[in-house]
Amino acid sequence: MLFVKNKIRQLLTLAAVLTCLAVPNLVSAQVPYGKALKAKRVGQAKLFAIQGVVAAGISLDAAGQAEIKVFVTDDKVRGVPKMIDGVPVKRVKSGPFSAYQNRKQARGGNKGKPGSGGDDGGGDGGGEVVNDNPRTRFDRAVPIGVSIGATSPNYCFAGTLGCRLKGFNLTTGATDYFILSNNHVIANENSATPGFDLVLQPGSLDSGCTLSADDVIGTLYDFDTINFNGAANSVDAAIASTTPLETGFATPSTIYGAPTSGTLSASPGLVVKKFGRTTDLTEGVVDAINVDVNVGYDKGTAFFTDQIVIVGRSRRGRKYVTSSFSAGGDSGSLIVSADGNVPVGLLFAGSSSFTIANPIATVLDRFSSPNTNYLMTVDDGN
Amino acid sequence: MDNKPVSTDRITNAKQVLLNLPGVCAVGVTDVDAVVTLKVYFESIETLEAADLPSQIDGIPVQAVVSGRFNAN
Repeated sequence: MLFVKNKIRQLLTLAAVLTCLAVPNLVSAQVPYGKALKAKRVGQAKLFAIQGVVAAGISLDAAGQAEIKVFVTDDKVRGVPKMIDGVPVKRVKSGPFSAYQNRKQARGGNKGKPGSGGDDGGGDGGGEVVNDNPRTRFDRAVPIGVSIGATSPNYCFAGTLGCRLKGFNLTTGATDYFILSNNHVIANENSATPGFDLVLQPGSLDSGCTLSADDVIGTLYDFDTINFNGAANSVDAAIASTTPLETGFATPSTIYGAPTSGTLSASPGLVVKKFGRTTDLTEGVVDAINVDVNVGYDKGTAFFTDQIVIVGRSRRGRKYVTSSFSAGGDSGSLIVSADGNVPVGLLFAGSSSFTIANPIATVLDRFSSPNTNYLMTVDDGN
Repeated sequence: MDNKPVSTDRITNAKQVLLNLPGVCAVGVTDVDAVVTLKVYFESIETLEAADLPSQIDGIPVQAVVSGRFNAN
């Protein structure tokens, strides 16, 4: 015990020294990112006081200059400034967001009961009993954030259904629907075959290690191959074709509802949440962006660039304390902004205290033209 | 350290140096009081203590944390 305490003391000392050495010397308005972040923080309260503003973040324009991106519900929103403290503001119409629902009020103590999946949105369909236990089987159309798996692994497994994607077919003009999750969840780390392997709800780990035709909700359509040879990876992602009768666009109605179709670039400090198979609804904060990381898989180690690191938090009284954001089985979860449900990332890895996610825009780009014949967006139900 | 703007190239180069340190699982970009800062994730306290971690690289501050190894989950 003493050894551990000494180690912790040494670590805290080192962290304090590093922070003290690091911080004072670079405070400068010349840092584009820092200047933009500071301006956003200064102007954030006023921005969110404007009716119709649902999210704000930092991104880079085409010239690489930092800008503040403000997401609004529609073109009628007035009062968004063009500049904040010298930083340009870019206005983006993201559409109306669904209302955040109070989970505690709505849960009703029915956790663990299988069943009332519900309407096309994946909510409760107006019934009295709402199933919000993601480890159970749901009536079709299944909500997002729940247990799924694939037919290909020869062992019991479950991950999470991230969200439903809407694919605009560039040839036919038709709209097709897809399940988004991880390669390692529905494509078995590159081993599955598109057009052949199936997606099950729930995953076999949650169905007594059985594979049933009744549980099929999609067919693997495409995946991004994970390189285990040291070459850089961008995403751990896969999509499966599905229909609105099989897969809904929203979480169970007691959770947060539908994500928006617009996306948000992660920025340090951004508060996010996810609903996933193992740890249900959790909240976290973006700890770092542009992260290069080595991730362990069954098939070896894979190197990823430009990822997002998130640290979980939960409220204890009036304070926030660090807590778990994810655990095994949450892979594939869609990470959205805590305010407004704007998609930010696709959860795919973690350690005991941190979670790693692919930027959602990178994921959508991977499955959009010219890699496929589609233009992909997160399905918000509209 | 200096007050030069932090370019993508500077961050990329600094990340590469840090990633090559033993016990480093990940390196990313965060901010400390609106200052661009490199965040280094170590697999254990032992590797963090053993690492010859600089307080800054090319003028960019460095912050360290023990995360444990990352695995697909």
